[in-house]
Amino acid sequence: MKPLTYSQILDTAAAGCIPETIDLTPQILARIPVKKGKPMQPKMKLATILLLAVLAALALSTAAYAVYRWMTDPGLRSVQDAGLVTGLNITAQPTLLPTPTPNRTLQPASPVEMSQTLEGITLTMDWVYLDEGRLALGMKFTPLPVEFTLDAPKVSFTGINPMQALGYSQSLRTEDNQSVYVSYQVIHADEVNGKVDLSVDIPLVRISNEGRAALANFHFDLRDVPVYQGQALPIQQTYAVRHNGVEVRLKSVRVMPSTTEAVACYDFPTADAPFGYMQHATVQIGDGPEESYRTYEYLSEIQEDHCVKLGFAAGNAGGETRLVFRVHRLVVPLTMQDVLPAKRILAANQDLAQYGIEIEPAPAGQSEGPGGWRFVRKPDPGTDPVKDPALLVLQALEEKMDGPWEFYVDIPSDNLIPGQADPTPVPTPAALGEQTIDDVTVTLDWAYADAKRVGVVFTINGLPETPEATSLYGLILIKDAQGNPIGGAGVGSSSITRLEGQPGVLKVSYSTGFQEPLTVPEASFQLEVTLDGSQNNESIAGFEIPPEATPYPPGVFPPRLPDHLIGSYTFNFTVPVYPLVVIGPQPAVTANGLTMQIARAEITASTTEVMLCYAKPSAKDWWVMKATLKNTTEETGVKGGVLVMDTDVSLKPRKSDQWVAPAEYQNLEHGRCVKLDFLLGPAGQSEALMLTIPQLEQSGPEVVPDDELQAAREILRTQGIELDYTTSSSASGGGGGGITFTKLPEGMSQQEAYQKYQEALGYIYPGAWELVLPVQPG
Amino acid sequence: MPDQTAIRCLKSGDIGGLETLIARYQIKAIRAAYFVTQDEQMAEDIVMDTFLEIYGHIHSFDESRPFQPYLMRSVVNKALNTVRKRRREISLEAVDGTGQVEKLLAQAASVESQAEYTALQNQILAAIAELPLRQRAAVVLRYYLDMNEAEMALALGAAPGTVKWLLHTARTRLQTLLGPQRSDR
Repeated sequence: MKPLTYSQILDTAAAGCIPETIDLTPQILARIPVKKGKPMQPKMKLATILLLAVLAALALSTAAYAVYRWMTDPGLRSVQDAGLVTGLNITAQPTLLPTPTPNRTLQPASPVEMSQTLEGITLTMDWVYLDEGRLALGMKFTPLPVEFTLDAPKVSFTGINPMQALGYSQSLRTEDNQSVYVSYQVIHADEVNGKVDLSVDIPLVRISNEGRAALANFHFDLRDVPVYQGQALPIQQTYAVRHNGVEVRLKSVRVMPSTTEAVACYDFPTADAPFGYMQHATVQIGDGPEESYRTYEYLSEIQEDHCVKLGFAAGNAGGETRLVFRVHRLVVPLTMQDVLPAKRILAANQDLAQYGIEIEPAPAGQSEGPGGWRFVRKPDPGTDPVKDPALLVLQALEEKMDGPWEFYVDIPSDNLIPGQADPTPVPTPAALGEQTIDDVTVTLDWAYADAKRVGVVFTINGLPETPEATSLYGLILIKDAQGNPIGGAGVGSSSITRLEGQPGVLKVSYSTGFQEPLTVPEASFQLEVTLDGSQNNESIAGFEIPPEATPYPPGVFPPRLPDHLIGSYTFNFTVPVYPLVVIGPQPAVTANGLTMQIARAEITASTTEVMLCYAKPSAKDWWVMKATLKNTTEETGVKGGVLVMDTDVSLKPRKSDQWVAPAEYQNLEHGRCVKLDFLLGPAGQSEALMLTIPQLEQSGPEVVPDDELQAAREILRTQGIELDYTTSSSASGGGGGGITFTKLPEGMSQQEAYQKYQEALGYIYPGAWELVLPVQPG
Repeated sequence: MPDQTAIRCLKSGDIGGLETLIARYQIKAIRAAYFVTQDEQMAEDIVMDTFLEIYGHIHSFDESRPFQPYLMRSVVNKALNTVRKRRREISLEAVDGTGQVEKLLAQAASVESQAEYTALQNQILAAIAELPLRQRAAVVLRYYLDMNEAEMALALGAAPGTVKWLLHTARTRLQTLLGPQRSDR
């Protein structure tokens, strides 16, 4: 007899009981009900209601907030209260040309428009975009037969090896036959003279019941692709998340209309694990439901431990822009070769007791499952398959680690690439201090300048009332009399608010600092305000959102204000410049055995900079993270600061730096001087300012060492606080980490808990130090 | 009509797509269910229910994935659950089939005639019937439906380690029964 496969043997064996003549079709079709209208899915209803509630809460709370406070800059508030600002007595000059956007402008994609036809399918490479951090490809194709698909592009950079290849994402839309691919890597534009050659291969694949088969390969050679400086393409995705010491990396995501495919790699949950298993992972498109994976495939071709390709029955057919991939649980499955220690087997009985199961170590050859154990007693599993005693034992014995490891992915879209922008509208000439473009009027209310900064307040009238908008989009610039933009000094502020009872009216305050203090009695400036929400312009200012407001769910974004390009407004004005006062060393203050002194201060009507010197408690990096400065009417926190001198750190003096540490501190053990910046001055009214330093804080390492973390956890546990520690990195090389409190005593806020966490790590040295700063030289 | 076309037809409301899929896979599906349940009528009911459930959720089915493994996983899982629910009604207590398997070993190794093969088939069915339920499902998935261990893990909702264990035990019995490896996988 010709040898048969097991499947054939079994098939013929069953044929006697189940003959080929059986046909269930009539019975099945008879049980199909007549379809009626499709109701909204319950989860979608809930999501919609929640979203509306969030938006309503935001609108109400924002309006209420605006009643009592709108300008967040205490220095500008003070000078306004003191009458130091200049009112509406200025000239206006309309801008007739589009305002150039400096720095992070998104450059246009380079048209390619190369086509190939293989197997009856025509693929066109439409455009390519490349900057120092991202590559994007835009493609379109003729309709694909249902069994055909396009694999992800494989891109080679001719003559260079990009650094930090951190994954890719792709959208493949069969409804309009287009695809956008974005990959993350680092290329230095200077090193390739601003251009590079690319080679792109895109496999055409047939999927059938027999599996996947490559049919053809589209190949494109792209010559002299410009490499733009910086990273301007507004798209991002999380690359790696480290949770309680175990890292998961998201290598790729492909989003199709009804499915999503993710490739992820992960560490062993334990160092000696024979292999790991991603037991529970989900994907969420927009605000849709979380979908667990339907297919799971080990990827041996990736030369990295533990990589899997997961398939999800959730796709993007509705123009969603955000996807969240979550890994909820990793396990270390047991094998028949594993023999667990008796202690571990017996310890599992604690968990198993609730099911009426007890196990004990089994001699070799008598194990009832992987791990070397046997039942002492077990219940009838009954009707619930998840209560299979053997399975419950395995779950109790398997090492597992719960996440989530959470990854945010912007779904690639050609909307991210600038197309033919609408020409900037020409503004309508208007009265002094007021300009109108397309029914949107900007009025310059007042302006102010001192030796350190220039500030303005203006009103915008005529934009649609959009309570749920969180920012005003566009660009704001203040230029000097020569037309040079002012800024870069690390001094400045911006705020915006809606005026109560006046729909569509916005108040904006903005200030920026000079590189060198002004020494003239008055100066002329030009203010340019561009209102543009059409593409990637930066935010002019963000509306204040109360901390109790519910954040938008992942993937839900507030509407843009404005939602298109309105135009640019330009105002010329001349204002008096209030002078700078320099203060010398002040009396030292001691608290908790540590002495501090203000060694120098520079004060204007709206700003204060102080050099604070002290001997650190140890050689580590003890910094002033919290500080409060008060004048007679206002109080503010520290805006910024720099390290001037530290006897434990070798620092080069900066060019033209006026901030030099006193000699006595330069010779002090653990001596340090820092410069602290505040957006508050005496405003011509206060005779002294009060500076309060509540504590010193030691900066933590990027990753807290396990032993320190463990010691802190022990301390916190006695205070009823428990936490998870996670680090993550993004595809563009950034990232961060931190803690998530999993248990807090009733009534304790996250902020209070964080303070306890810092204290437990030994990173706090309490004060407080109260220092008086006169505003005139003594 | 390829499976993908049939599914697309079904998604667009054309019931002909379902008829195509039923005609193509019902026999294999019923036989797979039968191996697990050992009951012809129960197997037919399970396959009917499975097709109806797939019809009800067809809008979420990923067209780029092959249909057959999805259908067979659903059938075997439903068969497992159905048998467990009716456990008190039919006797499925696992018995030690080792002795019986050992008796079949010599015969299986020397099958040369159709008559012997036919006789052996009946014994194969009997040996499978004697396997514990989850091992029986593992055998169907691996040897009848040609799934790999990762696919089996997904089908059984179990970790790969569990699948290895199930197969290890079942394989010992079935290799004894079926003789030297004949599978091409």
